[in-house]
Amino acid sequence: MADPSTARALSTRLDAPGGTAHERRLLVEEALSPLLPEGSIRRGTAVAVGGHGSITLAVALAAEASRQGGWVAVVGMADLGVAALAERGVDLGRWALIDLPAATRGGSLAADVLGAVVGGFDLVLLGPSIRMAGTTARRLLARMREHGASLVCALGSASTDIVSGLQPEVRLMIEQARWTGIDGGHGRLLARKAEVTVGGRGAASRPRRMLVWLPSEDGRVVCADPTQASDFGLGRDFEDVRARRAG
Amino acid sequence: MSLEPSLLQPQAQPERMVAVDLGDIDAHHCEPVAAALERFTPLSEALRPGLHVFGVRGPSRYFGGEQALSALVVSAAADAVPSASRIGVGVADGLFAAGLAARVAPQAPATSTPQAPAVEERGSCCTSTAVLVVPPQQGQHFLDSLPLTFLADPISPLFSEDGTEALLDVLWRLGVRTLGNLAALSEADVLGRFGWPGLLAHRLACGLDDRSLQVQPAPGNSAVEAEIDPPADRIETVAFMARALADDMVGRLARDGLDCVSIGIEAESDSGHASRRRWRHELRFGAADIVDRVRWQLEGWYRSPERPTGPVTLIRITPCVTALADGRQLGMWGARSEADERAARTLARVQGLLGAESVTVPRLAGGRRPTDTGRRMPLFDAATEAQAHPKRAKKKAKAAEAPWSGRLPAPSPAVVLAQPEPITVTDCGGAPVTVGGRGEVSAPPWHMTDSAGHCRAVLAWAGPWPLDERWWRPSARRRQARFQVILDDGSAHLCVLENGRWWREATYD
Repeated sequence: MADPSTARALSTRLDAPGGTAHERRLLVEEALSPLLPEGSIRRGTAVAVGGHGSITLAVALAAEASRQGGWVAVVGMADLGVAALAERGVDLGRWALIDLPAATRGGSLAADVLGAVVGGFDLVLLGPSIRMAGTTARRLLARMREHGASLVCALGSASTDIVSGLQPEVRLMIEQARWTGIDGGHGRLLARKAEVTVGGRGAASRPRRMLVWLPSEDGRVVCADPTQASDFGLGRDFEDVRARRAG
Repeated sequence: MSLEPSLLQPQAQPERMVAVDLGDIDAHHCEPVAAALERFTPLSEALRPGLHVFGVRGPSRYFGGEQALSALVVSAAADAVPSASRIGVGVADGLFAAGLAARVAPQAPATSTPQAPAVEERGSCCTSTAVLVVPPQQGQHFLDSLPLTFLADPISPLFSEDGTEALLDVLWRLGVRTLGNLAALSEADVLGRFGWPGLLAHRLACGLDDRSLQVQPAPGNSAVEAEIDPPADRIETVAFMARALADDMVGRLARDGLDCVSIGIEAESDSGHASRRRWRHELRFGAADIVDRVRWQLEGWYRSPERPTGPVTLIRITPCVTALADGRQLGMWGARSEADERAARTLARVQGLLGAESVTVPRLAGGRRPTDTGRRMPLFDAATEAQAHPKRAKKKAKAAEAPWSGRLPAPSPAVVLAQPEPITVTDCGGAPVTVGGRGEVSAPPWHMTDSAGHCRAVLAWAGPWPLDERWWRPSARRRQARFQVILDDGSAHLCVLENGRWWREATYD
């Protein structure tokens, strides 16, 4: 009979991410799965998230991986709010935050750090203003494929061009976002509705528009029912205020 | 070039070692035992008076096998401390099993211990009076029938941990009576229910004690010493000086993320005598533990035949750490799966590239302002807190959950600036917006200008929410008026007015 400790070690391995169940994909929260082809992130690929709210959306995409026992590293987001992380329901014990001094961004040190990180983590969240192009990006991509690590790049207001070298499989651009619950001196920020354009390569190559709560009033980041588009009120973003100011 | 063996085999078989147990003896009896063991190896270490260990490999070959070596050790120990109530010598894989083997080694009928009959049932172990040799690979079999309470034995790394008693109590009530019962549970279940101490207990019960006698001197010049002038003729005086040395040494090692598991203590007297002994801790040395060892060693020295004739002039402490890069740090998050080890090794590599302070872990904390509610804790602190101070970690977690009146409700900002950005907020006439003593705004905010001089229109705003923290201590008092503002590019920010100046503290990205 096999040694019981070996059997135990084996069963632990099979339960861990990277085992049989989700060997090739990293799960995302079910409410966000409509944003991604096959509803999950393919290991070894990059997802680019741009626009106002990109950090919230990127964190929400990474939350499930940590809840499933995966390891998440955040690189180059020195200002990431920890309380907001917790509100996204991440397993804080499986997140590590790595500060990249501004001077090293885009340099060879940044490439070394990222190369090391994708070798040991399941998912890496990359902060804005880290340029990944040319040979560096190709090498990183090869390492990601080798180790089955995925990258989620929060771009903020930067264009997806700065990570074009990583050939993002999915691009999620937050085109319009509108906060609710706040007005001239009243209320407080409650929820944010956003319109996200989904594009990318392969299965995601045909652009789609999705409505996403970033977050909703009950604090969750979820895709909204597309039939409610008119209720979202996008495009009428503080029109009255703008008119008043113009006048 | 050869690779560190521990890197190739992270779960290598525990080292084989000899443990000598003399029961509870006075501190001054420790010295003769240590001196007696010097006949067998220069590398014996004491965990406490009456509990000594050393690696078996070299000595057993020289003295004709483990059984013969053990018999020699028994008679040497008996000569050294004739008054000892019991003498046990155990040989097994790993510190835990060896220590317990010594503890339950059968005694001569006159001094028979309650555990002795249980041992004789295990036919596979070679036994003779006062010696118990557990054959290689049989560690778990030997441990199986031992009672659970041995997890709190001085040889166990859980010995001095705070929660051990509670852990054993819960396990007992769950019906886990022996180490074998515990080993039969699934590792994942034990980890999930009991966290790091539970996992450690489980590994010990499975015979997987990875504490190694192979230590190396701490890197750099970590030894600390003090000349004692005027020379001290009282042990308490030396202990007092040792305390300062130990604090300094332990603090420095902690900053490098190293655990001190073994120390060498040297003392010299003005008569030219010297005492050198090695001490081991069952888990890791704290400063107070080191002072205890200094005291024990000096007590023994002053009552030994080689006692110094003069007062003590010098004390030196040399730390040894577990072999580096063997993944000892991995326990930091409590789990030791393959993926966890890989992640921890990666972080060690990143710290090597960017500096230790570059890697932090997120933790919730109590507070009202965004920089207080979420903290970034240095990796090493997080690890030691979880391991050494589970109560403190729990207390902090509780503080984070407690209601903090005045804290802004969710959603929390996704970007919290470590250094708030100075800004200006003006009304439609271009005058700075101020808040009066009763919390009323001078005029609605109309424009916001950031530190780079970019001016944006304020589309919507809410507030002010006053915050008056620590008003009871004038030097620490903070009064703020907080606002949420939405700018015409769609971005939303948390801005505060403090002492007449505006700051952007966070952004709702």
